[in-house]
Amino acid sequence: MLYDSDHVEPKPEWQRDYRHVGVPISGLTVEAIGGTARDKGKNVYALGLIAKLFDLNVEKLRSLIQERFAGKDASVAQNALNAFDAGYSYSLGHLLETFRFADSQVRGVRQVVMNGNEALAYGLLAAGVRFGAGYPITPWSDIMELLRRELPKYGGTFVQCEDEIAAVSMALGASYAGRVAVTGSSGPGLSLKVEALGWGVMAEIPLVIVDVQRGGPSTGMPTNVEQSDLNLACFGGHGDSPRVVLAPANVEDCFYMAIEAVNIARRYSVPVILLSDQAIATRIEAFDEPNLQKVCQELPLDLSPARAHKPYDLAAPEGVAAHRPPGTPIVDGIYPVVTGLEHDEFGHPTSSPKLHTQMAAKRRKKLQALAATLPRPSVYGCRSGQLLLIGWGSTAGPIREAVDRARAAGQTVAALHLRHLHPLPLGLEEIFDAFDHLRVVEMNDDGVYGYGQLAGLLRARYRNQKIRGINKADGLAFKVRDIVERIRHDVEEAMTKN
Amino acid sequence: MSSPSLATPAQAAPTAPAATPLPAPIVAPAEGESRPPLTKKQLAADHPTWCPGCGDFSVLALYFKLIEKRRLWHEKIVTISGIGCSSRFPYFVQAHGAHFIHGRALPFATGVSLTRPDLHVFVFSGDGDAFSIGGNHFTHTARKNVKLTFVVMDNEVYGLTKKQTSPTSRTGFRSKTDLWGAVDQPINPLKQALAAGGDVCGSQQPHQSRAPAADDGGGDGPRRLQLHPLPERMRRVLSRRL
Ligand SMILES: Cc1ncc(C[n+]2csc(CCOP(=O)(O)OP(=O)(O)O)c2C)c(N)n1
Ligand code: SF4
Ligand SMILES: [Mg+2]
Repeated sequence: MLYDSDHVEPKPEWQRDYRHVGVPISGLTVEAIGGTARDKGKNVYALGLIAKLFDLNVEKLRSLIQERFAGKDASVAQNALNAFDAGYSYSLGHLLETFRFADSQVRGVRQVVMNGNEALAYGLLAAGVRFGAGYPITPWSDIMELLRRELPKYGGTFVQCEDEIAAVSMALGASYAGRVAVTGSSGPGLSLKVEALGWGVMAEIPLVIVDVQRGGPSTGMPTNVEQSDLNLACFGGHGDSPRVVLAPANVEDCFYMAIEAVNIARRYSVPVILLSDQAIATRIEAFDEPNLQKVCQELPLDLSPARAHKPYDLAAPEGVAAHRPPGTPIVDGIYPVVTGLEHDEFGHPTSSPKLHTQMAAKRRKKLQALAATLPRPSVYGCRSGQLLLIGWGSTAGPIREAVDRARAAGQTVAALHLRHLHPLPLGLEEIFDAFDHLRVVEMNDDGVYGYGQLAGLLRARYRNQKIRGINKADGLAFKVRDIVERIRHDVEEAMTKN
Repeated sequence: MSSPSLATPAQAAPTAPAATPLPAPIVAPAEGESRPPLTKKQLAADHPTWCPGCGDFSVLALYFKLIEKRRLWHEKIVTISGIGCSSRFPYFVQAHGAHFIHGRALPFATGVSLTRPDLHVFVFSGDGDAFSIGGNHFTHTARKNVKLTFVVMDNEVYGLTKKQTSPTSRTGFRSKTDLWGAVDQPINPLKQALAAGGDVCGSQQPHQSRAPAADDGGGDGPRRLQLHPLPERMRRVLSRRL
């Protein structure tokens, strides 16, 4: 831990966990720049230190600094460069020999740097989405701003609507017209979209809905993180309305899961909800540049004529009949109506108990068919042992680190991260059976019955008494320490009970 | 709103698994091809479930006449609606149709129109659907001036849910929710549409109308927004029925 010894004195207990190296950053910066800048430029001085420590590309950093301060008085850029050079030439003494850093650039793979909202929006573009509609709300707004800027470059449109209901309706209209569309929001906006979402399920229209979760309920804590929209995403709305729910685990995953969401929506003619959260949305990560040649896809409009068409064909394989957008000539002259009323195979209203049962089963079976194709998630750590931590969304990182630390301390702890939340992939039972205890780590409340939202879903699904929760709903992300302490506590408690 | 350049119909590759293969390839009609007008027989689907004498029948008849007269292509017509008696419309028309949720047919149709300028987008609605639950969308769709035709069958009452006061019900109108007469002022949809920027707005009694009541909104000409209050007639029908 490098610290500014002009300003802080590390407490002895901190020294236990990390080795502290003091550098008089404030004083040396003033010295490098001259008295007038006062304590400005300390960040650039620290950048110089870091560049030395990690052996970063100095020329590139210097040109970035010049770029950053271009347009200002020339002395500003010069001061910044002076601070940088001073930091870079500070003698870190033995430090550089104590730690050897593996060559960072040898992998030869280009990397991109962005936050989760950007990754998700670019994923949608790569997936071929060319229409979107939304209404501003934090932290979703970044996605719609980016799409409004980028979509026209690809012949697409993003409409800012009068409200979230109009947005989801417009997106459904575009999807119905043959262009799989996206809408999105955060907390309150998802609540507003729910009636139309149910229509998408009933009418079997593909759609991608992004929900960047924030603290709830109601207006809640707009700029804090929470994972409390899972129930709404999986079950929100009246009636039985099976839909797909996915949750990316990190920034890179936002990109690829956006593509997966589009493809599932199209393949199964069903709305797909992408559950991101405030932590992933705003977290900046570097990841390998996607192979755009490979991942980018076009979604051409298919208006090829059909001899006859039943939009809700009960005999269709896996319950999925191809969606035929308007503009498709139907040669026998019987045209489809897509509808939210319970319907027969042509989309005409019915109150037949038999048809309602059959159609409800058809809508449900599509998800069951999807579940059978989902990859079984891998277990991190060990294949069996005392404790399995189950997570979803942005908690992937801290959970893994907590596993590493617990294992270093001799505990047999592992982690399972779920990215497909509804339907769940097959085969989780066997994973669960190999552990004495199961703890679902999630950023939501313990709940009336003592379980967080994913824990409740898993208990209902697997009827497994071992499933319990490690919950936190204070609007802040999990710290590794929070999880480690809970592991220690839970494992010890379990030991004493046994 | 400017049209996005999204429409590349016909030559596109199939996206979804094909159903049973066609016996012989069917060639899509060539651009500019002239076709014989569609007949009422081709266009009529389910027999309307409206009450005998309901004013909505005449709007349906005019719709058929319009399609015939304009020689619209069968596959290019889209009939969209929300919820209400009037919104049952798509089932009675043999064409691509979407029966959406209460009050939101306009944004849905906007999504269709913006992505597919090649289609003739018609929206049918009732006074409750259009001016109450969908009131905000009405203003904003007019403001965006989307290429579509909006037909409201204004019977000054909620028909489907059996005679409650609607936003166009006149003051003093007795309904199941206003046993002693409605107290709120009725809204004036035409004024609202004009104030919000709708290009072409009109109001008609269907029995006065010989010419097609609505334009298809196609082409580059003015965009059309048509309103159809059917007051006196419908009220008589309703008070008899309910
Ligand atoms: C969200 C929602 N709220 C309420 C209803 C019930 N509902 C159905 S139609 C209707 C009113 C229809 O009146 P109008 O639009 O004037 O159509 P009409 O039946 O008179 O043609 C209502 C309140 C509904 N279907 N959905
Ligand atoms: S209730 Fe009124 S609006 Fe509905 S079908 Fe009957 S007459 Fe027409
Ligand atoms: Mg009405």
